[in-house]
Amino acid sequence: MKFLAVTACPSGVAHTYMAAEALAKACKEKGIECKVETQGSIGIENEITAEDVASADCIILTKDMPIKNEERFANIPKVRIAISDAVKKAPAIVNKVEKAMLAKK
Amino acid sequence: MATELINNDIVLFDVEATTKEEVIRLIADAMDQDGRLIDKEGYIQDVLKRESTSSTAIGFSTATPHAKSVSVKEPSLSFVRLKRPMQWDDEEVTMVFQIAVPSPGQGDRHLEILAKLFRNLVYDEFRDKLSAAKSQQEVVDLLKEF
Repeated sequence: MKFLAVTACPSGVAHTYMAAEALAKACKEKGIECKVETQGSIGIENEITAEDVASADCIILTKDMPIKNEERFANIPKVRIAISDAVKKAPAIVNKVEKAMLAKK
Repeated sequence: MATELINNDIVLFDVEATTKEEVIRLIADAMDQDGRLIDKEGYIQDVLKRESTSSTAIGFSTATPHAKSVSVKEPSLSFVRLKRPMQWDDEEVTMVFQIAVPSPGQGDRHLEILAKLFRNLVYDEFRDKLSAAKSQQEVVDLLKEF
């Protein structure tokens, strides 16, 4: 299983990075491969490539801000979450998404 | 004039407050006295405006009010430990990190530090060290490491 995620918050200073780390940590704890792109005030970091998209099961997007270059993810299942939920309950979100993806397979 | 992102003057322990605006204003006072703000009230309004888009109480008993604002002179990270837990929107909060970042930006070094700080904040061990710190300097050292 491989997840992708993009995090972005209105001022790009705090939540963007907390959410990114929380999602990465939750995936790691479950043994799920995960790559998280941050769209914060430093700009885009750890940018998701076409190869990443091709090899991933789904992408988690935070919905508090428009995601830049979202057309990259046209052909992959998308899960939209509030960025505060990503920080507060990343393990529950990852569990739920994993279940949904397993059900599809 | 302040040049460090954080110093002893903007680390506050045993703060007594009952509303988030009170906390935000107290911290803005400390930042202003340290020469970090251009327009204190303007900065406060920008922080409150950011709060109104979505709460910065992010779980872990922590709130992180912040603004990138034209009213800010020096990139600043303030840390506050409250004397008693208080209600911050839907959460109970005991620690507050408040951030001031100038807009337009002046280089990204401070943003990189903040990014690292916030990544660390999701780890229990890091937060435990902050709650256990006995002096302002301990907090500064912990946050300066980035």
